[in-house]
Amino acid sequence: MTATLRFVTRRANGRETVRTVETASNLLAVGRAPECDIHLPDLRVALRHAQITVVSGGFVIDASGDNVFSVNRRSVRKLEGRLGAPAAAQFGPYTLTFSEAAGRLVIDIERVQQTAAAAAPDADAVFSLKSTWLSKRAASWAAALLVGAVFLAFPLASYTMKPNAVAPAARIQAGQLWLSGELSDPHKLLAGDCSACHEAAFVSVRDETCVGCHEDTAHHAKPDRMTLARGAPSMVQRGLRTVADTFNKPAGRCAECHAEHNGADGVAPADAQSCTTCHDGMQARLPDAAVHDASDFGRDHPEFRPTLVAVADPKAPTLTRQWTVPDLDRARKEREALLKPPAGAAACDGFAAGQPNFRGLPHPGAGAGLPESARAGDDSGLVFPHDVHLAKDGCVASLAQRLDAGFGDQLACADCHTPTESGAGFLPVSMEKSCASCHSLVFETVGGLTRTLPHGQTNAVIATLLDFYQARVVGAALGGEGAEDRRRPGAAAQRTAGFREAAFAQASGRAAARVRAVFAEGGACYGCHEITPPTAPERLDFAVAPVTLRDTFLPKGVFDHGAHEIGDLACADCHAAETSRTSADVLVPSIAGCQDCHGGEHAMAKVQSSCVMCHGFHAEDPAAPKLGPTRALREARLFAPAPHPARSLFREVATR
Amino acid sequence: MARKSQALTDRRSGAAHESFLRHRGFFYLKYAAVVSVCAIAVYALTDPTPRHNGGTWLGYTLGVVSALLIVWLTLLGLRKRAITAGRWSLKGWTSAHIYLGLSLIVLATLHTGFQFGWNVHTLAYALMMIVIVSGAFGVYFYATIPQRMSDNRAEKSTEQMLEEIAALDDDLREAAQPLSGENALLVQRAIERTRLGGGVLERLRTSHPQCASGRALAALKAQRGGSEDVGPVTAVLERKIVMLERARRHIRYRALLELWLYIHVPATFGLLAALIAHIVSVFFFW
Repeated sequence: MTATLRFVTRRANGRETVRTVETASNLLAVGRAPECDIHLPDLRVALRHAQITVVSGGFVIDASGDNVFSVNRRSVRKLEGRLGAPAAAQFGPYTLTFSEAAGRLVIDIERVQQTAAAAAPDADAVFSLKSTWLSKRAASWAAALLVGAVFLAFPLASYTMKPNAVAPAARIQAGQLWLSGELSDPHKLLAGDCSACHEAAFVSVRDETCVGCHEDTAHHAKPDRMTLARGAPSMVQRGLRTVADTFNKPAGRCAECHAEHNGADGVAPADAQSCTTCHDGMQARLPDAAVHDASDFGRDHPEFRPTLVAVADPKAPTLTRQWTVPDLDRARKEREALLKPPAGAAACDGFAAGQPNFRGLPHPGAGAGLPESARAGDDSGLVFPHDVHLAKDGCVASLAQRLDAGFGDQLACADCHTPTESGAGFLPVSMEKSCASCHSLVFETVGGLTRTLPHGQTNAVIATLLDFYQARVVGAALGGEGAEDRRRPGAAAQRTAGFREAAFAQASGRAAARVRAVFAEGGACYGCHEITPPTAPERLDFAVAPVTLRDTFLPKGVFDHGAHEIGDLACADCHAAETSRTSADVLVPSIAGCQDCHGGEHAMAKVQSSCVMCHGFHAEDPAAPKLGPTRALREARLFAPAPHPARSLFREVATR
Repeated sequence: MARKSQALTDRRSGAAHESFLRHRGFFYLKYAAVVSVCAIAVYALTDPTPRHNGGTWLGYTLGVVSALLIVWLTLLGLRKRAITAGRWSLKGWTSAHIYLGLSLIVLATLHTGFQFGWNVHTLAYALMMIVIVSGAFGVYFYATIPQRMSDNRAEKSTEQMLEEIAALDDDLREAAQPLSGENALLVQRAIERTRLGGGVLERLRTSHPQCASGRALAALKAQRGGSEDVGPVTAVLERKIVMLERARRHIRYRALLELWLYIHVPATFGLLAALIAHIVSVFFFW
């Protein structure tokens, strides 16, 4: 039997060409080898893949070796077919279709799978990243939506919804996402609630909100004076003002100076510019201003003008700022020359009769009058020579050694001047704490009981002395305690009315003598106080000049003594107390001493010192402690009742 | 002199190529440098209360300028779809995009006043820096790769490269006809399993040890002098490998040219969202 082989090739246009080969052999080799009867040039086909045996009425396909071919998508090694029954076998990409024509086996051989070259791939898909999973569009949408949802929608929602509709933690988180900078320390507590200060959306923080807590903070000066002091705004300033007004940021708000969200210690302005805007050349714009011009601590700052007592009065002293420190130093030198004790006089001789008064001022009743040029000084009303108290030897030093009260060989500054708890300043010097251990007010010790004069009340001193000595003399007359000549019992009857009268008269006289002695030279009061004698010789209405001691001579500035405990810097390095002879002397050092170390805000080789290092801005009650602007703000009253949410938040935390 | 400069201009405009970096004698580079130096000078010479930040007059000014600049820079995405010539040519626009974009590093950093935190404001800044840095990579790649790409292509189009490889596959089929099973299988795999492109990382790789063609070549070379004559097949395979390497280099270059944009563009849209949130938050809590 023979077969007809039809090699079919299909063109792209659908036409097919057929090459027909009639075979004479019954055995047909199928394979890639060129000598095969059915030559299938594809590498998936083995060189000699199979053999077709044409038999009577059919055919048999036998795969050689391990080769297989597929029939109806199943891999087989052998296929037997009948002539007339259609059959197909797949060898790699070729399909062999078996049919019958005029009793002969016909095998159609056609390549059904296209070659790779035929299906040209899209070049862009191969070469461009577009064919990978990357997508600019998807990633862009994802980025925009994610950022928009987390950083815009979430905070907006948490602040526009009703407070109780949002969990507090979510509100805090939303605030953190929008926080433009770290809050200052005192306001950190508020970070959980932006609306504590930002009360309405798109409205700048208002002063009413600030004053809700800081209700005691005073203005710096009258607003109209401040406007004058500032001078006419420049074109740039006017431009900036217009922009700020346009964007709803009114002028003169607290927040203009107190810029929040600038770090832990940022809310109090620390630069000099805020101050020098007005204080540089202010005298020209505001000639009646009490303060002098200043623009830089190192280069342009007036000399210190201590606030001194002109007329002492414990309740309402008259104060003066007419002298600068150099004025005071000149007057002091002049006083020292005039009040020099006689040669050979001991340090304590100043107390003796006929010597110049330590007070050094031409006070009524004081010793030598002083010329006008030597009068510049503090008139506290008290007599106190620093030099006598600090001398290495002399009456004070020897008393200090004798007393054994914790003093050393001589008195030191700290024996009287006690630092405040913060170390910044000193507690007021008082008679009871600082003077009384030496300047005793004990006037009598009877039976182990000491009797002490009350300090500070002249009338009470006189009354105490009169009461005590009259009672004592009368007691003696009655034979009671203190009697000078004890009589035998039963002798009382012999006392006559005349004797009693004489005793009372004697008692009054002796008591009055004691009173006079206390106020006279050498008496307990005389050493330190200016005494006005009685209006008539027989009267006892002595008066003591009022005393006003200043806690600070520079109340407009803050000086932190504790911060200046550097190396072996001693009090005497700044305060010339050891040579000060009178209490009129003001021991405040000149600004030149400060400027040795401190320069202006931009000084190169000095401590950079801006205005607020020493000065506060808001006017404060003179009685309030001067601790600097930041401390003052912190100490603002937080707990007084007020409806403001920030305050209630503070209270809530403070009571936790 | 005038004639000479005229001639220069003519030559330049007539020249086939003037890079976007050198456009108009670095006009936008100079412009951006002047703007940046001015901003730094003003920043250094002013001393606002209590410190530099986005809320001073300089801060707001820099912020407004930066925000407008970002929006304008983003518009390149629209502008590039319309190629025009002349003063506002796409090339000029691109040159300005690059140099003004780089000047944002100065303007926006000064706008921050170096205050950073975990918030929307720093997020916007960080996204902007990502956009700029990715853009800088883009500039570097666009400045260096096209020349290498052109050298590598040897005047061939990408379609031609693929056709050449396909033709070589045909040659391989032809040449492998006499080969026995094992070797025929190797060649067949070299034809069918040789992959071009693939994933992002594969495109960026410079060596492809898994390449079926390479492996087939190595295996056939090892058999030289054996029973079968593998000479013709290896010759074709070697040619194919050369073609493949060229195509893969091309793919790698294309990937480098395109990849930075997959960061640049999404980060830009993230930045626009963050910028809106930043501005809204500032005015919301005014």
